[in-house]
Amino acid sequence: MIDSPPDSDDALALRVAKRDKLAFSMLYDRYARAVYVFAAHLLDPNEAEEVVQDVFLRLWNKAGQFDSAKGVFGAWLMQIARNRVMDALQKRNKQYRQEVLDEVDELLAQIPDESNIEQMSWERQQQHALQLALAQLPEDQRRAIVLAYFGGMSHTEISNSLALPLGTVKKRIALGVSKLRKALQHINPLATTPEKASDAKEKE
Amino acid sequence: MTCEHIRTLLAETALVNEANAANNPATMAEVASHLATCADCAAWARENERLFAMLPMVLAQVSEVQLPPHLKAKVMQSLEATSAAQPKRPTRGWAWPQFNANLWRKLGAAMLMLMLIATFGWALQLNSALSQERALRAEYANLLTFQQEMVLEVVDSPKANKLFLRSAQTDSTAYGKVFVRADLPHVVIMAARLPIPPAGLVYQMWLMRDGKYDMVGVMPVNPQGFGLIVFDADMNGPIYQKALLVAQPAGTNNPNAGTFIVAGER
Ligand SMILES: [Zn+2]
Repeated sequence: MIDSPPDSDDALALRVAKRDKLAFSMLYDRYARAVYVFAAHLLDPNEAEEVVQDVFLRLWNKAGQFDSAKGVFGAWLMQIARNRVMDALQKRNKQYRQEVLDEVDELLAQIPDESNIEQMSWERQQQHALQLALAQLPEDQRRAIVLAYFGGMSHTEISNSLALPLGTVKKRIALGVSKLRKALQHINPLATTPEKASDAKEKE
Repeated sequence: MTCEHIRTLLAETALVNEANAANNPATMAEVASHLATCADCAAWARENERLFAMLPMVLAQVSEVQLPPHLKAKVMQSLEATSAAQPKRPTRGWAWPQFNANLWRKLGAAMLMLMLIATFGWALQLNSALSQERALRAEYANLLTFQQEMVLEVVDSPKANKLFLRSAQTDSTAYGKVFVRADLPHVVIMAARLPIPPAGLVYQMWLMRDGKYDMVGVMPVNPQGFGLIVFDADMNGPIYQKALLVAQPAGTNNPNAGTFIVAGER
């Protein structure tokens, strides 16, 4: 087993499991803004504060359940955050949800600034690549992904919202996801999963 | 199903909430068993999850919303409060949060567990109902290496509501349990000492609520006769009046058209 660097997410999470507040504070600095922004856009600033508190409290109490062999820390924490946000979002009315999701979609459609890519960390380069790929997705594919991920909507709900057949919705999500994966692969020379035929089917 | 087919299904359903993904239990069981045995597809699914987790990071990059600076002190303070209030609980090993985690992986874990049980063997000295339950539970804790949190949250809880399943055949000692919790939608069904289903038949699990039966999934059975189904109901703490595990051709839409393996009634 290779030891991760002492300030890696994994190493910090291990320390949090042992009730290390400094490690916790470092993870907070890395992820709190993403959690807050996620919640603030979909809910409101007050509730976003509650979400941040809940999510990080959960990190504090459950860090021992994170195992780096099974996935990356950021994904683990963001699943906690997304679940918390979706629970609260489900309580808002349909029109409200529609509006906030429109806004998120609009933000994600922006083409990012290309400067300083070389100086970015690997994580940041990945985010940049994903941001670019999202912005470049066909509008309908991005929209379907936004409704599913940020809206927590089911295929049927998305199909109603976009007035599209269910099969088309599924296809758009699958195509969009496959394009986003490809964008990340360019950044990740160590990608271990060979892309198979399913990803080659680009045309709809 | 081929890897290609599996990945298409995964890409279609990965972002969607799991209750929705659960509308075809038979397909899901198939995907789950594939993920448990195909390392490539399992890695593919993990990579998807990493990608989705980056979506909020990207949103944070494009958003102008700032994190309130006072919030950190508040969060750090709440740590003090919980540290004082809660005795430290032993951790139960790895578990992804159950929340958004997609059902495929969850079921994949179940299938993986079944394989592990197949490898290590299933203790057969089960006497009382209590030791049976302990044994079921112990197999979980030891063998389910990921996605166990949801299962344990239900099975371990003092709030768990259980429906006991007894063998419906005189020559069988099969038994099982349906676990629900009033405050959660998760339903966990476990059974042991199941005979291997006859050729051409599968075990379909039927649960009755408000006088109506629903087929909630196909129970896979390992060579030691252990089976598990995990799913989310459309409400918290669903109360099932009856439960039936029926050997019948896959897709049969009538609980009575087949051989009852285990059955329970409230
Ligand atoms: Zn495969």
